[in-house]
Amino acid sequence: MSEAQNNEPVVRIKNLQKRFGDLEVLQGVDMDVTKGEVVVILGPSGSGKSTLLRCVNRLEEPTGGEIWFEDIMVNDPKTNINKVREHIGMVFQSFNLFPHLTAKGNVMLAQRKVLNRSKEEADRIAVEQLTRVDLGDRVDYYPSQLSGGQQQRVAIARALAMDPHVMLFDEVTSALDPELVRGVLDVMKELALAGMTMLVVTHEMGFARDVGSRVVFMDGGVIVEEGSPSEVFDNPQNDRTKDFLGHII
Amino acid sequence: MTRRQRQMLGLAIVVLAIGILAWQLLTMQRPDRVFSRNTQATRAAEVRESVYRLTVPEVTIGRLGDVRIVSNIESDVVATLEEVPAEGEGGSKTWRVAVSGETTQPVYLNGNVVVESPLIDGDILVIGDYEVRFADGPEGFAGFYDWWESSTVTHQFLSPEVARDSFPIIAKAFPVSVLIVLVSFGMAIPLGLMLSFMKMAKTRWARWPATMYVDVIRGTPLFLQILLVFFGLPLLPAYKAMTQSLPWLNQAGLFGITNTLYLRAFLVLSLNSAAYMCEILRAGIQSIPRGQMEAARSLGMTVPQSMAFVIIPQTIRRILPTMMSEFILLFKDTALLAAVGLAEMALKAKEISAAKFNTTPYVVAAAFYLVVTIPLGRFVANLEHRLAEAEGGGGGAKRDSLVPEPIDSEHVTPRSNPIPTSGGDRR
Repeated sequence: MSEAQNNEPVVRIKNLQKRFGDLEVLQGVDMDVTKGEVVVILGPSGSGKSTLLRCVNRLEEPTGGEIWFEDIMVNDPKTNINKVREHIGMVFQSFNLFPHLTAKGNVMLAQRKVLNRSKEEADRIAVEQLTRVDLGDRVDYYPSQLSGGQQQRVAIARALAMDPHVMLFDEVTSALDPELVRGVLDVMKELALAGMTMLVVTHEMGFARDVGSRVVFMDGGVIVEEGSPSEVFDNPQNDRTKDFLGHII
Repeated sequence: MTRRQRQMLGLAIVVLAIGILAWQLLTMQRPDRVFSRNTQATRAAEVRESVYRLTVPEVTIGRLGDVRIVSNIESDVVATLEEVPAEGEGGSKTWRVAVSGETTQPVYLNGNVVVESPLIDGDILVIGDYEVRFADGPEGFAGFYDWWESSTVTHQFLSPEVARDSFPIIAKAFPVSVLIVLVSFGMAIPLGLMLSFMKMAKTRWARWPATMYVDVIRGTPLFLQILLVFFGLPLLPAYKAMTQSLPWLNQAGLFGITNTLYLRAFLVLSLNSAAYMCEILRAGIQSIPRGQMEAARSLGMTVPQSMAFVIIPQTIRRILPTMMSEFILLFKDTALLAAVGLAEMALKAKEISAAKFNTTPYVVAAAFYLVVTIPLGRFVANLEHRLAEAEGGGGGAKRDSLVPEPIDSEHVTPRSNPIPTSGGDRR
């Protein structure tokens, strides 16, 4: 696998903290993601893994610590966050496709408005990316005419069309019928094999083991354990990790 | 019996009933005759002399002394009867009825012939009471028409003659109402959008004024607002100065209405409608799942871009029916401008009605409003249906509620196709 082709970190997270009112969701998280790495974040509900992901492109405003994307400090108020987000693709649990646009329209919109690509170019790239996620024959369908798995793949194509340097996946298969999960995971696996840097929050243990270059286990707003998939799955050190994996597998 | 068969049967019964009724009406021969009809031009009653013939069966008892017409004829109208020399045939006698006089109300003769026999001491004994048939009364449609015009309720509210006379006058005022509602509504949309953004703003300095404005406008009658603007505004020195520096304001503009009247009408209606529009838009925007904004922002789009290309297009689809009913409401509200002398349809109808002493013009004006409101309502229902199909397949339409549904984000229950495209990540 494409583990750390070089040691250039794409995302650096330093002592990240996030609180909602009295609730401390993240209590000091440190993490580096190097180029080409696939970091799988595991953990029980409420452990802060989604919040961590959403802090990376500042959908949530961190209350402490630093997040660096390449050489830009993401949570610096002076940073133009829109410029940063151009390079960070995100895929959501609930797809969040734009229902008033076709699959192609969904993939084209940000290309046109953010990257100022010409209509022809955006169209070409949209078809290309949709074909890549195996939806070449569904480009003119509206989201409501697609299955959940197909919608999620459109969402992935939408993010990929922006040529992101890193992709964030936030429980992307959790809202899918079991038989539709496969297709989405296949797309993600191909993406990982192609060398995409990925941060993946998931409950799919098979995926974590096969595709992840590093597994991070979070609980209570901190990283409890991390290591290669085989280390974490086959020989967990921490009791909470053991407990969690015991319940899941 | 299937539903379709029941429908067909019901339709057949209705058609049959209407057919029988129409046949009855159109073949009727009315004994009642309209004596006089109001004329529109002079306001005075038309004086008309009508002569009818009536036939009374042969009298077998007593003597046909005096024949009187008992009718609803007003005091000024005189009906006299005169015996026509018999032309033989079956002993029946024929009288000539001559009616003359002046009246503002349509009058119809609905008399009975009373047969009286004078006694020796001068008393009069009433012997017979005969139904009179006016032999010369029109039959068929003309008879029906006369009956319609002579009957109080139908004449008062649905007189074809008054309708015919008022139609062109009200039709000329129709574009006035349309122009006013189009301009006012057009102005209300950006104003309402601005207000809704203010109401959703983070700072209270934006939120409070907007909230107060909406509360005040929605909490007071539009009629009062119209009175305030129409009578208050011209008293302001600034307004006076403006009309003086812009003389065209005091000249007649489109469709013969003075420009300052238009200006004030646009102002008050758009300011009023903006308050309602604000709430409609706010509810619509807030009903769009948060995930939509997040997805747009995560792609690097700015807030205005996300609003313009992601949130607003979806909002419009959702609020289109409400917006349209707001448009219909505003269109109907233009009638209130009649009270401040803007000659739109309602004021025209009022004038004609006063001149003709008849309320049919209001019904004509109502028809003009309906010509806009009913097709618009149907159109919107259609459009809504089509948009819902394009967007949501089967499930889309039902989800188009203006109230945002709270969606549990932690673990959305897996659903089969079609998946709702909404569902925010609220964490």
